[in-house]
Amino acid sequence: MLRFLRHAILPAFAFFFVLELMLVGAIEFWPDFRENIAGIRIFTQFKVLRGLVGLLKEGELPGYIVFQHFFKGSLLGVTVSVMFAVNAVAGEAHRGTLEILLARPLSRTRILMERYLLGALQIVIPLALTTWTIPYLLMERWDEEIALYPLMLGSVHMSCMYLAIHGTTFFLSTIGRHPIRIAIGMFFFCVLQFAVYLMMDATQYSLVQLVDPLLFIDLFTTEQLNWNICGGLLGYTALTVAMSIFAFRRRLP
Amino acid sequence: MSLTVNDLKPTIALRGLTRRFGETTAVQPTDLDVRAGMVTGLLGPNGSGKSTLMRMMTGLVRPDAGSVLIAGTRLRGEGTAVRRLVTYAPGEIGVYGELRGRDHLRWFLRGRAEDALARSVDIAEQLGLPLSKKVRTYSHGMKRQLIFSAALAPEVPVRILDEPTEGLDPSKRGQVLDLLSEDAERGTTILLSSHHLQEVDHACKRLVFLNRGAIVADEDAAALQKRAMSLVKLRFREGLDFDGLETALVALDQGSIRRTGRTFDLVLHGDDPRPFLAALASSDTPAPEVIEYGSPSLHDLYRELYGVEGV
Repeated sequence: MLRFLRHAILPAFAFFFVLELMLVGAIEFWPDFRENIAGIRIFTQFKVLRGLVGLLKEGELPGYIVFQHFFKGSLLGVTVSVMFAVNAVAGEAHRGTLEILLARPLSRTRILMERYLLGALQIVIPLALTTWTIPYLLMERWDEEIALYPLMLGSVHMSCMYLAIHGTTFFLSTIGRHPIRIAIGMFFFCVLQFAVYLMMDATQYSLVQLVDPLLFIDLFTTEQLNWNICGGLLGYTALTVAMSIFAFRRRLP
Repeated sequence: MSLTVNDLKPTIALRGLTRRFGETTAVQPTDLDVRAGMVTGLLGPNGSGKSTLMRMMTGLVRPDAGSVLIAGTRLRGEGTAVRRLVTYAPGEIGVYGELRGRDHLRWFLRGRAEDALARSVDIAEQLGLPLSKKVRTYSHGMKRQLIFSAALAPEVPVRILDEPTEGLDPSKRGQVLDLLSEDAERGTTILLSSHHLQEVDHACKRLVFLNRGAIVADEDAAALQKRAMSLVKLRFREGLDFDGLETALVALDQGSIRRTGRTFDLVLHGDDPRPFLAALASSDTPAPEVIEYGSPSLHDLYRELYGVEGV
């Protein structure tokens, strides 16, 4: 029970707590931001980001929340997506506990799926819960209203991206022995994607386009999930899980 | 006591079991039958294929060829069905230091019958393990005993233990081997490995010797012990005429002689060293500094009894 609490509940709670803290801070500064949006736009270096700030002006409160909670929050989201997956198998191999893990009379698929699902829930639930608190926080602090449904759709969309990152890291963990190297590799890849996203001429080649704030603002008008992107991300995640199971069943202790 | 057909069936039956890692053949095609109710020792130097063979038996490493049958169940796929019938204690110790001893036993025994935990706690307490302390405070030997307590607790027909006595002090080693012998008397099949013959010989009724992935000898432990008495090692002080000494020892005509530096290894004609020692005492040869017999190292055993060099 203690181990479950330490490895399952505490990390998820920590993710929830930090995400919520960031959200509370963002909401606290919402009126200041609204007043200074023109100035912020002038000082923004990258054209892509300048475009986003312009978008915030048009999108007003939903744009601001999307930017703060989903776009800026993804820095934390990507980090936990990697961290919650990287130790699944490579961590056991690195600390020398993989053999005793596999020696128990449990199927490898079961062991792996338990770990995968735990990590996935640790990401999805805190994100959904923090998103759910947004209308309440805005109403309490600034007496402003925002629709919950599109926000929750945004949470689902962002979760699909996090699950894809988590699934990729999970697969690498299944075949690797060095969790730190895997984590650094994943962070480098994500930073590279963000750098490409910021380059005006190359931005369309970045995977960050799959969670572009524009897509989230669309959710407020259409109230429909972008199934092309979310379906693709979920399909990719399913593929990483299948590959992880395949690799883990053949893995040497 | 009458034997039934089931008594004659091996509990562990390996046929043509083979494993390669790249260009290296870790286990050459191996056939082995292990019968119920005895402790069988799998001996060999480091890298001889003991651990790979044991891991293949439990489904932790997939064989390239061959079959494994344990207590009537054939090893298939990842071997979950076989692992329900077997407890396995790995040779390399890896534990979760953040867990307390009792919690770690519970973790080990996930997937086993409910009563296994109580038995494992009982065994661990017999071995004097502080179960309320975190495992990171345990010594190497205590961690080994913790894994052993978990491996000995479930009621299964077969236990496969990779170097269960490695790193234990002699009294704890004796305690562990006694527990294994008692378990075998209750009908459990126990296969354990070691690279020190003297660590396990008094518990094992049968000894299987591996070298470079192949079985080089398979002997009844009592017969081996008797044969081991035919190995005598003499070490003389520095500065003697060792060529002359070798000639004198050969002249005693008590067995074959091999010299390494100032040490002479003799394989006697019989398994009683007394006629040789009497002849040595009555000859003019200088008295040796050290006389060893009856407890050959694995190296000596392989070289002198099985003709295997480079162990």
